[in-house]
Amino acid sequence: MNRGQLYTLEGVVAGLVVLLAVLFVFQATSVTPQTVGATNQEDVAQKQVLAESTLQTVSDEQLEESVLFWNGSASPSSFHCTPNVTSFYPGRLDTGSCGNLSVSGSPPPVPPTEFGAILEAQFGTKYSYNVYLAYHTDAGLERQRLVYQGEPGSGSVTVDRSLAIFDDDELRNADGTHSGHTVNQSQFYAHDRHGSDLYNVIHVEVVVW
Amino acid sequence: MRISEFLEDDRGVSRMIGYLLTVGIAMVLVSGLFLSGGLLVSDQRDSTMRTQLDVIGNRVAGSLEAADRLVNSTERDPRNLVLSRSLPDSIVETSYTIEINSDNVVVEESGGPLAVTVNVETNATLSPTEVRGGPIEIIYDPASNELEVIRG
Amino acid sequence: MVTTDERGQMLLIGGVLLAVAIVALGIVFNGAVYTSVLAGQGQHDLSADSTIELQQDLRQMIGDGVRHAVRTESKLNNQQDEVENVVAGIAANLSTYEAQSNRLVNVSVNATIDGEYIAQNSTGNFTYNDSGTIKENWTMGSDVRVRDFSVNVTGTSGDDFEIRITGDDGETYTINLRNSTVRVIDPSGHVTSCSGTDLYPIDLTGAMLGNESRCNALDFFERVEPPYDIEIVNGDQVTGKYTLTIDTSGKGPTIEDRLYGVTVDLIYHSPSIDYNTTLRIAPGEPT
Repeated sequence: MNRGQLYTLEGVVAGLVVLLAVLFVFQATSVTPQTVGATNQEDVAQKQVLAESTLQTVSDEQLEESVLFWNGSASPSSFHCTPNVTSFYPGRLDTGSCGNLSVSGSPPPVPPTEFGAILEAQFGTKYSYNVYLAYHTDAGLERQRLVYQGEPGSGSVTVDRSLAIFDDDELRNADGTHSGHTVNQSQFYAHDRHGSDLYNVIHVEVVVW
Repeated sequence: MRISEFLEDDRGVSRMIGYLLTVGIAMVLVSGLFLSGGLLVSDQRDSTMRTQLDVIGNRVAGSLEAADRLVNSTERDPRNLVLSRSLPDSIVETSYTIEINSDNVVVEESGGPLAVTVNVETNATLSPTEVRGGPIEIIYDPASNELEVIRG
Repeated sequence: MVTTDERGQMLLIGGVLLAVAIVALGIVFNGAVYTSVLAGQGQHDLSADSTIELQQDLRQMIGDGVRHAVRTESKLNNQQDEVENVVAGIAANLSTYEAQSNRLVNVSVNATIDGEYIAQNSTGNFTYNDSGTIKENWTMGSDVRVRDFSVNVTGTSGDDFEIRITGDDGETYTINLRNSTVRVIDPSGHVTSCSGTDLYPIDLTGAMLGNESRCNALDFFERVEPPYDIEIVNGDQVTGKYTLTIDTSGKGPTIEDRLYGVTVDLIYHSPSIDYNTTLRIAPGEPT
């Protein structure tokens, strides 16, 4: 055989061997998983469990206290001690000032209530979170921000709990005590949608990412 | 070639034979490579299949227990309870079966030796059955306080 | 030194080695990625648990509705109307809210549980006036369930005042109320107690003492088989007030018809669950 043909043959065979190996490998990977999505799935599941269990441990009184932690006589009305430009608690950003109940440091980054303290204790260090209060209007659902730390990133989880507010439920003062003003006598973010004793149903949504 | 020429020839070996030997050895090496590679991959597949069977077994067991929790969450038994779970039709390109016994779930690959058992604890009784792997439905029967798994 | 003869073979051997490396890498990565994906899948199917949470929310909201109804209305039929309106309002809101999560939730009142409110509003002995005869041992209710049972003992002349709860299975729990101790004797005779100052008023069904602490001994109420009998023994040894609400009828100093609770039908549909059941909601009833 001529040398040139020999070299060509050997080169081609070497190439074929490598090609076969590559084809073999591609055939062996019969499932194409999303490698990035895989790790996220576990994290998301963990977040979901944490958020669910945290929201379940909050008592009804604690939830109600925060939902009604509204200053109906301020103008414009807002949650107690929130900065002037917003009516919600901005998470960890610095804003106005207020005497507070159970969260140390002024201004309060989260509602200075027991609910806020629980949220901060559970999520504060590792995650970011928002809390929305969804209520019913004639036009559909509206959301009032309670805590807003920014737009949720990817892999966010949402958990919710529902709470019924009645006509004679009283707004709370900044120190947590009953203010003596009922929801239907004050400027409250939700309005009375029912002829009965029921005022509205508020859904507390916690988004964690 | 006459025998005398053959006997007097003092060359080593013909180039053709040399070449064939080299290529032959290379082929043997390569097929040896593919064989062991194939064995390794099938080992990987086995362990993967075992993990996947375990995941499915836990999903089924978890769903049975969740259905049981739901049944126990009210004073009276529910009139109707059906849980749907969309499990994959096959895992590692093999079909599998789900067997429900009175206190555990066995997920087994069809036509293979691999099987995983997961224990289940429920107040309701589990109706023993065997279904082909894939989307399932868990149905509660209040008359007999039984949870039944069917292919859905 | 590679000769021209061997160069081709080097190429071939190099090719084989490369192939080995590629296949080995392929095997390793395949295995690793495969198992990590599998581990992430199938975590925690949540649909049945979120149904349980919805039920809890319903119990809380409608329970509040029952409490409001009895607080704002004094006649039973007004209380019934009120709670039905409240449930309708909650149902409408809940349907709208759950619909955005692709769930169909339908809540409606199945029936109201009409009972009686028994009270001793002025301080006196825990006795019963049975057409002229004062009885210190009497049965407050037979085959009943009770909620919000609150007792305020302000004076004792003895230590033997007992409230006996006898379950449907015949097992009797005895609550022995004294000045600064609450003793609970279970059917086998075992005694648990809570002591302290400022015990009264005691919420028996909620297991709460007047000083805002829990009395775990009173948790027995959750284990009593309903419906049960409530008996007063040695009621002449204490003075004070009490209030309770039962689900049928009983005896006591003042009685008025009152809404005890409601049973509510729940229909819950989502892509992964089909559920139809009835909830019994009575706020303050030991669960």
